[in-house]
Amino acid sequence: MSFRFLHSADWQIGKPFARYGQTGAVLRAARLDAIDRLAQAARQRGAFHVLVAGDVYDTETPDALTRRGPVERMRRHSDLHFWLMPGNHDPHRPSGLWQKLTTDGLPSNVHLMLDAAPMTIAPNVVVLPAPLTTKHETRDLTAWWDKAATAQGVVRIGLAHGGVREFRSEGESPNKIDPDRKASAGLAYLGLGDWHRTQEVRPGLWYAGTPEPDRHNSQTEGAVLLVELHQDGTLGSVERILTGYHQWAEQTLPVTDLQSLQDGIDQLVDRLGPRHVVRLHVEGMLDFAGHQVLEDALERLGAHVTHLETSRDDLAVRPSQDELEAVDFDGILRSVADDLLAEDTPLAQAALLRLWTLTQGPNRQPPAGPQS
Amino acid sequence: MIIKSLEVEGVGKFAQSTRVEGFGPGVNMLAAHNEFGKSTLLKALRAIVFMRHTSKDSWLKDLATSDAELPLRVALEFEAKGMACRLEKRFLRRVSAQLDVNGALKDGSKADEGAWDILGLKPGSKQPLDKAGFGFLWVAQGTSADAPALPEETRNTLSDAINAQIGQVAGGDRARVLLKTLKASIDAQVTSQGRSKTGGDLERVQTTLARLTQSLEDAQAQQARFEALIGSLAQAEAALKSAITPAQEADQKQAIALAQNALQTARLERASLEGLQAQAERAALVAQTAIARVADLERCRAELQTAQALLEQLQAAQADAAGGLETARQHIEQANVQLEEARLARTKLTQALGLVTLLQERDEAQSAVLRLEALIEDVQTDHEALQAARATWEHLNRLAKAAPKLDALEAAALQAEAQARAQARAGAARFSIDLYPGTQQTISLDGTILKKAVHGQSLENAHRIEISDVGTITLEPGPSIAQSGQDALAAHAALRDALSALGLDDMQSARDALHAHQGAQGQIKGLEASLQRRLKGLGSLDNLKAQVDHHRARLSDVQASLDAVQADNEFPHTHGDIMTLKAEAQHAERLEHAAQTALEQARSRWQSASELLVGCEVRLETHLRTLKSRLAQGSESDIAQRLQEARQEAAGAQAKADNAVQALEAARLALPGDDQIALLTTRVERLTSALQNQLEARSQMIGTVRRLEGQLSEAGCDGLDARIATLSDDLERAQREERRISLALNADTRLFHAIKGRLESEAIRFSAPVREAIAPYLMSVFPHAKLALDEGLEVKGMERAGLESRFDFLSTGTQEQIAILVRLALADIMARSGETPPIILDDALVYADQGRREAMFDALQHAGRTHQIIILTCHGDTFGSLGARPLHLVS
Repeated sequence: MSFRFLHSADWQIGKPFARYGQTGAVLRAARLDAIDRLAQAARQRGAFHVLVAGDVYDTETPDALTRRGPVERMRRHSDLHFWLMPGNHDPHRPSGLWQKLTTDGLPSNVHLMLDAAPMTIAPNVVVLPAPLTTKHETRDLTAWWDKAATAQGVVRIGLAHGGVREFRSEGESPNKIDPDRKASAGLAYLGLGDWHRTQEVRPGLWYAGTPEPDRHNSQTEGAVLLVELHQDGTLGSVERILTGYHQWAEQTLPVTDLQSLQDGIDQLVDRLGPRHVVRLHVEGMLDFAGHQVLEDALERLGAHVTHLETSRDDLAVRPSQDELEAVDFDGILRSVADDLLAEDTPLAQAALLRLWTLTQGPNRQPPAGPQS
Repeated sequence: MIIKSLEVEGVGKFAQSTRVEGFGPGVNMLAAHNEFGKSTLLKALRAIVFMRHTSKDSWLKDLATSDAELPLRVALEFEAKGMACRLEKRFLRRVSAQLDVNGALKDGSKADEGAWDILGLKPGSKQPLDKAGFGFLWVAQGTSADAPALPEETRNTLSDAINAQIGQVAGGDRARVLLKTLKASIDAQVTSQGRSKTGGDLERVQTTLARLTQSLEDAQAQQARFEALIGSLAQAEAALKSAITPAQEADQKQAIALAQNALQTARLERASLEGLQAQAERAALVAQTAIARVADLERCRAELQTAQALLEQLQAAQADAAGGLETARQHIEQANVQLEEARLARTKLTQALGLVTLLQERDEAQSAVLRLEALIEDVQTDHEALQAARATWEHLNRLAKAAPKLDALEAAALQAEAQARAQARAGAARFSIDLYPGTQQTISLDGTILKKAVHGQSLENAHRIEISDVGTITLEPGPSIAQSGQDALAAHAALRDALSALGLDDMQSARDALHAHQGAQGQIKGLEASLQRRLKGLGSLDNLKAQVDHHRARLSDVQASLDAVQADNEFPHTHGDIMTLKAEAQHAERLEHAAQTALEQARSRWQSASELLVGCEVRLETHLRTLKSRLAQGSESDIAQRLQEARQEAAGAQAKADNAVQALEAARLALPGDDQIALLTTRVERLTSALQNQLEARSQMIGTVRRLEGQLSEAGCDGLDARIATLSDDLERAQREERRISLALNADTRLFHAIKGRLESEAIRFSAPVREAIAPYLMSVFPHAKLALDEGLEVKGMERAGLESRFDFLSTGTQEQIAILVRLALADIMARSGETPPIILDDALVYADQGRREAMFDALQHAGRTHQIIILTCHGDTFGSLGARPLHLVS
């Protein structure tokens, strides 16, 4: 007889995504919806316990609706048991979030692991939690596990939130966890949270990642881990299950001329879709006309994906010879354009682009010379 | 182009065909009076040169002769580019145009355009042709002071010439349009002081930034408070965990109960010891009572002996005090006698001093009355003299006022007398008396013997001639002479009457009185001054009299007081010195005071002796009572017996008390001591206090936790972190937006200054040939002056003697002269490209003074070497020195 459960972490419900404007609401909703998706995945795979290794909420002071939101989602999945533990984003502090949750009234399938004490979650299965009570913990909160007494033959699961010592320090919090703890504490599995990537550190020692990604340069797709433990306390299997809706993509668009620009945009449109949150680095050089085309193309791409963020630090915009001629073939404006071009500073480039725009649009003035 | 003739018909007041002739190279002038039609001719010239013959412009309709049925016809003969041309156009009615160039004819629009081609005009621009071409050289009436504003086409024409010299410059108009666009864009964002403008994007985003920054700071401050509260609460809860637990509380309560039981047991054991102690204390008390009785009896015996000795001393003191009292009484009587005598002596001396004072006052009052009466008499004397002098002065004053009249009467009398004499001399018969030489007879005239002949003497008065020994001849004047004498007599009579009316005898008396009048004024002033000196500080005469009355009344009062005093007393010292009397009175007063002091001292001594006697009597009585009381306790021998018995009784009681103490000490050694009970008591108190402190501490900790929880609840931090994150993102977005707007604004500003700087540098470069061309003209009229031109060749100002003046701030005359000179210079520049249109000035130089006008004439003649110049003026007289070719009209 084996024991199956889902290992998840870093839901960070309530993350505002304000810099994404109106898209922020979509991204916030997606994180809440991830609970339904992981619940469905658990149910489909016969796992009726979901262990969340910290950071259920993005902050320890969510407003009431945000606080109640995930609880109500979990209430709908009454056939599953959700075991929630505070992390560095939502530490358990006096009169804080977790106390309010208790006051709110939790459904019977939602359990809080607020104390550093063994908790039996199923027959012969005990979870040793290491809940955080501060945002920055300097102690190894798993140390007590080594001496934590449990009945003979009980499967021990450790649940902690922080960075594994001597492992990559990409976790958010400085809360360090001894990677040897699994062995020293006699754990069948040590589930970790904090790092937004699914990662096996050692056999039976895993970061679950976040079920819905929330940033670039991190986890591109949301996932949870399906863990199966044998009765004798040995690890059966660990399976990564995708649960995310949005995919956070970081792309580069090299441009040299209008054609390369057009081709690059077409490829991106083919490759990306409405679920993508994209950060695009535009590199290369364009003339003024190309720059206008780029603006149009990026508008098109932005409408194609959930959100588009561009970086043009490596894009140079310089007028072509024809564009300089279009400013004026000679005379005062042309000499001004030549001076600005030679100056080659961001301000001069902006002034030059402005000059070109003014001479091309409705403000364009006829060239000097007689009229008939 | 050289205009040869101009013919108009149906133009303004030139309804009939009229021809202007006499045109030639150089300076031409049509001088005619106002309303002659000079400006009309210039308009006709403008019409034929610059307008199509088919034009229906209202300006043409206004130019046409009123109510004329004929077309507006203008014909122009001119030379251009070596060709002889004749152009004729009919406007408005039966329109036509014909151009004859060296005999080749063109009609209609070809004539219009052929002429323009010859004259270098380019139709089709936005501007009217006269504005676009060389029309700026034709200056209409009233516009000569306007600086020439050159449209682009004209500047292009000039540019052709200038560019040939300095190179191509183009795009100025586009640059200026862009400048306006950029300026508007910049002005929409910032004020002239560089601050963001209200309503602009920059101001909006900066406002948003400030709001977001403030909101974020507020939220962060709230978060800091939240963190502090959380920290405090955590500390409080941690502290609460270290507080006493209920189990610990129960343990401590049990320990307290045990300690209390131990204490109770010890106290019971100590109860038996207390019985022994009570017995010892009672024995000790009995012994002490017996010893005290012995001491009391001994003290009673000693006091009895002392009281008897003291009684004897008090009786002796009482006798001494009675003797002292009698002595004091005698001293008082002696002092009373001395005091009475001193008082009597002082009273008499005081009365004498009062009498002497009254006598002194009477003498002073009498003296004052006499002095004031003498003064009143003097004042009255002066006052009467002054009254007399004033009466005299008034009389003399009347004479003085009549003096002119008397002088006139005297003059009239003298004049009448002189006239009478003159008339007598004129009308009188004359007589002569000749004496024969050697005659012995004498002839006397009016009693005077004549020694020589009398010739032609007039008969003014009666004369009597007596010839000795012959007789007398009486000569009398006629009646007219008598009448003259009567007038003189009447005048003298009037003078006398006037003198008599004034009480004067003659004019000498009047003159004397006038002299006396002048002296009388001085006398009056002298008397007034004397009177003022006398009365100075005393007031008026009435005041003086009142003072006299006052002193007399005072004298009367003093005398009455003297009479009363002398009637009542005898005063041996009434004639003594008042100072001596005062000294004696003071001595008597001192004697009286000394007697009073002696009396008081005697009374004081009597009082002391009396009190001493009373004290002795009281003490004596008290001791007598004490002595009787002691004696009531028994005789001295009884007391000795009782003392012996008491001593034996005290020794027995002391022995019992010592036995009781020994028994008590033995018991104390066998039972729990005070230290042990105190230790047990301290333990109970310590345990009780410790438990109470711990319970209070726990209560306080619970209170702190509750309070912090309440504060956390009130802090309302739900959503705070999310709000901070949102505000941070919003702030970042606003900062990006501000950077974007600022970059755009800076780009606009950068572009604006780049274009503006280029335009200014080009203006300097482009206007250089114009300034060079104008320099000779300027030198002739405004030596050492420089003109400031913009890139459109428009005059902006002039610099003279280092001072810059804006063009529109110059005088109208100076503006006009500069405007004409600039046109001459621009015409010179056009001539470099082969275009030499005529320069026409209508009613110009009307503001110039003579000097400037002459200088301008020089400039015009200088320009006339290159250009045909046509002057239209109504000031032919002042333009005579211009040296222009005269134009004339032929109808």
